[in-house]
Amino acid sequence: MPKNERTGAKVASKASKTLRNSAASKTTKSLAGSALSQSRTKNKSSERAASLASKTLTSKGSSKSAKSLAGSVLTQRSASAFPVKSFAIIGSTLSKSERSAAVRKVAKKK
Amino acid sequence: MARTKAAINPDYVFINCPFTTDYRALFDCMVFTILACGFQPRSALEAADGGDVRMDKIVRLIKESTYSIHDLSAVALDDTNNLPRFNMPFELGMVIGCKKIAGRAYASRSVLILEQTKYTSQKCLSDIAGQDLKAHGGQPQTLCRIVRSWLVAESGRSKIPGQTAIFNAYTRFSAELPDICGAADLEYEELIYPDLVGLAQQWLQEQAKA
Repeated sequence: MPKNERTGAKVASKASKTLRNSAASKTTKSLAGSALSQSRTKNKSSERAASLASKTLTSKGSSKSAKSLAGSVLTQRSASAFPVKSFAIIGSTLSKSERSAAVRKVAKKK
Repeated sequence: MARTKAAINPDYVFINCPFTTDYRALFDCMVFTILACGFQPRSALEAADGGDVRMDKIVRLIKESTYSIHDLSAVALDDTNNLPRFNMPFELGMVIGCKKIAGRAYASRSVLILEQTKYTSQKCLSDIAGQDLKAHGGQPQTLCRIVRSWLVAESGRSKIPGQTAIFNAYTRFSAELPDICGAADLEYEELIYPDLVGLAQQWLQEQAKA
């Protein structure tokens, strides 16, 4: 998992407070649990957590705090979750190392 | 004469869709989604073998691909010749013909037929009635969902990421692609198919490595 796609300290703190808040909804607590578990482990979010996060982000009734946690959960889901295959690219004008350098250069800037 | 056995690859997805500028966003999204789901896109835009005429190449792609996606959304008359494009329905006909006539090796091939809006294709291709066409409405997000869901259902693979994760990643990739092309001294507007596939593959692999 890319380092910058782990749960940051700020979100982890928010998640911790949410879990201890008796007024927080079940959904928000689920998202908080998922986000918090990413702050110390290399696990990615589960399909269920990602689905919940997606619904939270698109729901008009979600709180700002819940949306923030949902964003974190989705980022963790997208990282390293792709089973992309390695295969030769015939006819490309670039070598594999040139493609890698270009992708990394732009990622570094972002 | 004995029929040669097709070398079917379980990861190959043959893409039969328009290669026009107005279709680019959908095309890029389709290629990205196929890669992100763990499959390999195949297209007539791939570099040809020496002396490989277009029809031979299409036949080879159909023979080798377990899956095929056919987008019939280009049924409108084109601006240049005032004629519809027949390539997509023609290649779909080849695949369905193989499924129906060419025996067991082809019968289990999976076919996804797309259109712009629901029931449009039936108006100009009534023989297609009874097939389950999917309408993408010209929206990459809808196309991503349709292609991902179809690959999950047809392949039975369990490790395919969710549609939100794939589309979020595609949104990031497409935003970065012009800069990536610039960093590689390529023109974004003139990006050729092998480079698109190579850069999308590399971008996805870098997500795990970074």
